[in-house]
Amino acid sequence: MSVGATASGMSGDPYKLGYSHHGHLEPGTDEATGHGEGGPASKRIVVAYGFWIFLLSDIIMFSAFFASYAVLSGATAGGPTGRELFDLPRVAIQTLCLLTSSFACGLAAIATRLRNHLWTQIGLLVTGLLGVVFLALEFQEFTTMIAQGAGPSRSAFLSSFFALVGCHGLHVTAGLLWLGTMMAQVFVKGFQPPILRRLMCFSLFWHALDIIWVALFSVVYLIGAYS
Amino acid sequence: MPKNSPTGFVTAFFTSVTGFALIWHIWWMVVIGLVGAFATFVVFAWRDVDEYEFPAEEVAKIDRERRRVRAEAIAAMRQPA
Amino acid sequence: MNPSSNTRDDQRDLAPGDELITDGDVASGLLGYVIGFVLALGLTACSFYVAGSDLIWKPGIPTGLIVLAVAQMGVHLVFFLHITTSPDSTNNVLALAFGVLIVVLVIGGSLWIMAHLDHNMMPMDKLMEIQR
Repeated sequence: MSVGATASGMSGDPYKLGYSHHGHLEPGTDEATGHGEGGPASKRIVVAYGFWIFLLSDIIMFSAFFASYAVLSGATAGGPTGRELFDLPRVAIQTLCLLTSSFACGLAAIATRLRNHLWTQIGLLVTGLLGVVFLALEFQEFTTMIAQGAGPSRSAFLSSFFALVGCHGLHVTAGLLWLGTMMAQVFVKGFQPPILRRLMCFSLFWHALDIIWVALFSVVYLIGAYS
Repeated sequence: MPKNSPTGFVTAFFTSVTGFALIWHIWWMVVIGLVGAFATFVVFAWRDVDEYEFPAEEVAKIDRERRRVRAEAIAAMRQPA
Repeated sequence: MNPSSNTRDDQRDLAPGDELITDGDVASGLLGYVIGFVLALGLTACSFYVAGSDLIWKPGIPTGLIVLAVAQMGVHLVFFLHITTSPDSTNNVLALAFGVLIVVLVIGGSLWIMAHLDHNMMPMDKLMEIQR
């Protein structure tokens, strides 16, 4: 039975199950109604959902690191505290870098939808460069702290700090490697469906990293520097 | 159906090597492990064909054959030995 | 068995938050990202300012910062990740709600339990004294 989606309940679809339109599809719609009719959802939807679930599991892993940091933030073992160590102007620049790189990633996504090679690559390149600046600043901060004797083995507070911020930095590094691979793939293979799905997954990942950084700089740096 | 691939196994091998090297501070092995894992990722990402299709009739044919073999085996078991 | 062709550009293949953009539609897609960017910048500036000034009662600063952080995470989710209230996003919102539940349990539970342990148990230095 192929029924159009009319408003009246008497048209044969009293429970509003929705039915596939059998040839009357507009571009941008999917035969799968999401209510059990029309077959499985399209690959792009399934891939996006699966990757979203992975991102949530990653955020749960970060929450474990956050919980450790929150519990141990006072355990300075007589060593340096957050207030002495954190350099807030650098944190502000890092935040701006990551936020602007998220914005650039969004611009790249728009360019991808327009199938514009040049602007996609430019957007992805800007995303990557800002990510590199972020990592360089973080690396500089870590080396400064270690040189001052405030390394991860100094106190429980510092161990949990390096674990949490370091984990985020590792994620950013992995993301940059992935970004480089994606730029190469777009350059060589063009905008094929698997490449488009991977670009979508990458932008989900990059925005999620920025979300985690928001929590990080608020809880670790701002609360730590002023509490 | 997705095409089979050894990527998971190979990546797991390289990351195990990396983990072992990190524990024992064998830095050159860490580099090899990480580079190997990333190289596996890139090689896997580059494949052009990642799935194959086969028609429903073939699935039905395989299923019919399996049911036939099973029915025969059950009938054979039911015969007094 | 034949290799399926991946070269079709599947126009109907959309995920939650995807819009089919034609050339004239760049502006609306762009506007979403610009608004999100500006809001996030504003919230970041607020966070840094609140932390450093005495605009807010000092013991309340951590709570204020967390509220601002949650707001900014919401801005990111809506404007950058396109998690909306549309029926297309329902699955994603449900998964997100579950994720948030687990995060709240892990972080809140850890803080609660460790605070109680801290209160109820003998301090570490006294414990070590007994063991000598």
